[in-house]
Amino acid sequence: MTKILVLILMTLLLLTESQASKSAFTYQPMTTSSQLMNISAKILFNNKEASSHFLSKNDIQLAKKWATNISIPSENELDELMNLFLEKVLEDFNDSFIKCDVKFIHFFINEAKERNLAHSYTELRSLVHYLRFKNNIDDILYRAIERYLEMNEHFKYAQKIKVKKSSNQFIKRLKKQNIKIKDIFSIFQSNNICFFENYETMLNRLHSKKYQKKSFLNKLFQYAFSQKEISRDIFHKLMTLNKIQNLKQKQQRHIRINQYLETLSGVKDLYSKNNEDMNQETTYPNEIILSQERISRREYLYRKFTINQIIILSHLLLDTSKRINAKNSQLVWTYANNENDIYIFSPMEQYRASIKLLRKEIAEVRRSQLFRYTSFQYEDIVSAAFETGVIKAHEIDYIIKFKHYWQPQKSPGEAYLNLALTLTGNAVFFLPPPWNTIGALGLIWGEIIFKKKKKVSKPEDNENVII
Amino acid sequence: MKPFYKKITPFFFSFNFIKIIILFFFALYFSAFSMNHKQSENQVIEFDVLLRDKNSYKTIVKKTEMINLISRHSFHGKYFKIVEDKSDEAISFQHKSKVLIQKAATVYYHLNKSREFWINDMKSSFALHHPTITVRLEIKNKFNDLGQFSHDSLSPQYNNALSIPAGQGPDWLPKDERRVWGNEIWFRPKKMVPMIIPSEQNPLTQMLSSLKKPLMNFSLNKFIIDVMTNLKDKKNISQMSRNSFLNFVSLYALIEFSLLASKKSDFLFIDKTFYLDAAFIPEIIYHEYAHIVLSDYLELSHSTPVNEGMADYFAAVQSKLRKVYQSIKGFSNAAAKDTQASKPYHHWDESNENATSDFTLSVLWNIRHILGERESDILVYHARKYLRTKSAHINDHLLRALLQSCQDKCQNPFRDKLKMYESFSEKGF
Repeated sequence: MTKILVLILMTLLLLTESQASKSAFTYQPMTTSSQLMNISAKILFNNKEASSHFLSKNDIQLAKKWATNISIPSENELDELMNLFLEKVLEDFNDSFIKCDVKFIHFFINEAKERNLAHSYTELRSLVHYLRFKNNIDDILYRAIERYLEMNEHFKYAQKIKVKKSSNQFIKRLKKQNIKIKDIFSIFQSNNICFFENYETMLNRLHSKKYQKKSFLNKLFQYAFSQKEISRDIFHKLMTLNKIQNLKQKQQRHIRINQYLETLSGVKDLYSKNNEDMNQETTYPNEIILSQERISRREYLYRKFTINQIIILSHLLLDTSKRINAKNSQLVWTYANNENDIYIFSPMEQYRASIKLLRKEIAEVRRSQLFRYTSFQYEDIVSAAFETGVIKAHEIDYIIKFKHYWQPQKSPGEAYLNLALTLTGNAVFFLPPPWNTIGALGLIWGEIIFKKKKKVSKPEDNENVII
Repeated sequence: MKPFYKKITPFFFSFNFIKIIILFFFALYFSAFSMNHKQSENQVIEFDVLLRDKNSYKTIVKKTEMINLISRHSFHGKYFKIVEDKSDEAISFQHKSKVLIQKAATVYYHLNKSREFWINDMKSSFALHHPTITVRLEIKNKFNDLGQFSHDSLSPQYNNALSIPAGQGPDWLPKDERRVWGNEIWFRPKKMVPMIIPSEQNPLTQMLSSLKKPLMNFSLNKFIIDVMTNLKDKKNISQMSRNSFLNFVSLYALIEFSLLASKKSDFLFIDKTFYLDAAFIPEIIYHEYAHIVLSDYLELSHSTPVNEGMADYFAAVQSKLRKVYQSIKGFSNAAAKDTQASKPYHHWDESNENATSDFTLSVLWNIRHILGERESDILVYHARKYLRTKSAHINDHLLRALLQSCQDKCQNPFRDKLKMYESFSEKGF
């Protein structure tokens, strides 16, 4: 019975998470304009993530080995070279008319070759490891570049695939389920450069999971190619991807490099006077919140929200911190005869009022047009504020606790204890005497021993305050 | 020819010889005196002083050097002059009362030690440049801001200590009659005062009172059940019912007797008399000197929860003990103040009548746990700049002063202020 219950619970959890991950991300179309804000290698420098989830010890060793093989004597010179390398890549990308991930990888690889930094796939990987190891880039960019380099390598060595004729049964099935090849693959007709974006668009158009299975997609791509909806090159790439990716990987939607760079240049350390050194005190931005895809809080923020949304969210805490730090605050009653009755808040009232006002403003922002189709939690506000430099790493642990004013939290231990005492208390009723008396005494003893003796003070008990 | 002795005898009896002899002895005497004098100048002056044993509440008497003395005959130092009652002369080392000498030595030693703390640790320029403070022992007169001392017979004071602000007599008095005084510390004499013991307050009486009703009810119920059972069975009152009745009566008598006896045992839990020889309690000495040092901003006009709490705080810092003013047998049986008192804020804590409670001390002491000892001491000391004795409430002014002080002094002001807000919230603000 319990096994069945556990199975049902796990299924529900999986379903909700997959739903959440799907609904969390709105697909950002690639921009064709050269509107990317002026971004420099300095902004790419990682001063937010205390550690990397994806860089292993082996990767670091490879990176160090690669660095020694490069004929540059000093570490400082090498660091400078990395900066210049990144600057050039960004410059080329910025100047490019079409900004998609393929282009970025193309500039990355070319620049690495021109500067004799990396010629082979292994060297390119080591270069990326080194950039991450030295914090020239963060986990988000590192992961994206690694992924595209790997896929690029697969495409290079993709074998020529024999084209099979699609069976009548398959074609009938397509007609029956109203799957129109032209609509699905039209994206490859209009723009055949941004392959990865188009690939994800195509997958999105095949709504159901059953259409994303390997066998179905194989037949679909074969049929599309035979109908000349896609070119041979695209066909090979699609078949290669279909071969190397499993169903889960096909369902993952990745952050676009262009989107990421654009948002980064618009929000990172916007309110911070100078770039702080990476502070090891908090791993908050690096916490994995979507375990299946291993997405950190920071990546989640960049995926889900636009520049304006992140700025608005960070402003919530900016205003709150200003209110908390205000010299004084007061409540004013203005009477009909224009007389004012002023009540000056005590420091604690000012503090609580600031936090309650934060809660009110969160509700107002939720109702706004900008967030009409985007939900957010308090944790997203904290992430946004940290990203824009409104709050510092060592302040996060205390700012997170603001939420407890409207969502008081109990520790897991307390929750389990309460559950145990409640269940035992109810069970004691059904025991025969004298066991019910012994049980009741045991419960009382348990409460005395295990429950916190410290009385929790509440503002309501203080007659000297109004908030 | 005259013999030799006849030749020299007249010389010995001549006036010149006598002069030489006198001069010789005179020279001998002065040289001896000067040697003694030099020796006594270099001699360290030590007296028995009452101290707390290292990091404990136990007290010991230890011979300790009296530093910074100006006089070699009395307790007149560069920074503190210990006098008796209304006198302006320092207490002599040869005073007839040995207890008074020990008291003076104790006060002198601890005050100098406290001064070093304020100058070296807290970098107080006010303490560094403060003129000599007169410290009065065994003074019973109330303070009068016009003439310094109230009349001798007007409400003599005992079992206390206070710091008085500098002042002078009124302008309408002639100059030569106008008394001028600086900041002073007064220690009242000890007096055994009978305690007013509230009835039924000792723990034994309280426990018996709470047990009385349920026990009596249980016994009575048993008796009634037995009687009803007999009646139901239409039997005469049985032996069992008689036993129940006897049990009930005897239990009642036992409880009443125990209650009466417990009231007589108040002495086991509550002292009959109260006494406090403040000059022998090191923390009280630190406390009073702290009032003087903080008086550059917190004027010495009257006791408020804030200024008393701040002085308690620095007394606790210097004593390095959790509980301050712990009783010392023979000198004090006053209640101690706990730096970690857990009582939450109540608006009555703002009342001047509760100025001597340990609530403010616990609020300030909590800051040590969250910011660190050194940082907290600096912060609390700096906070006095934002306070005045007349307008200092804990809930408002003290918290605001502490937060403002953190803004000025903390390394990470916003974070540290958030920590302080959390701490204040736990205290019930």
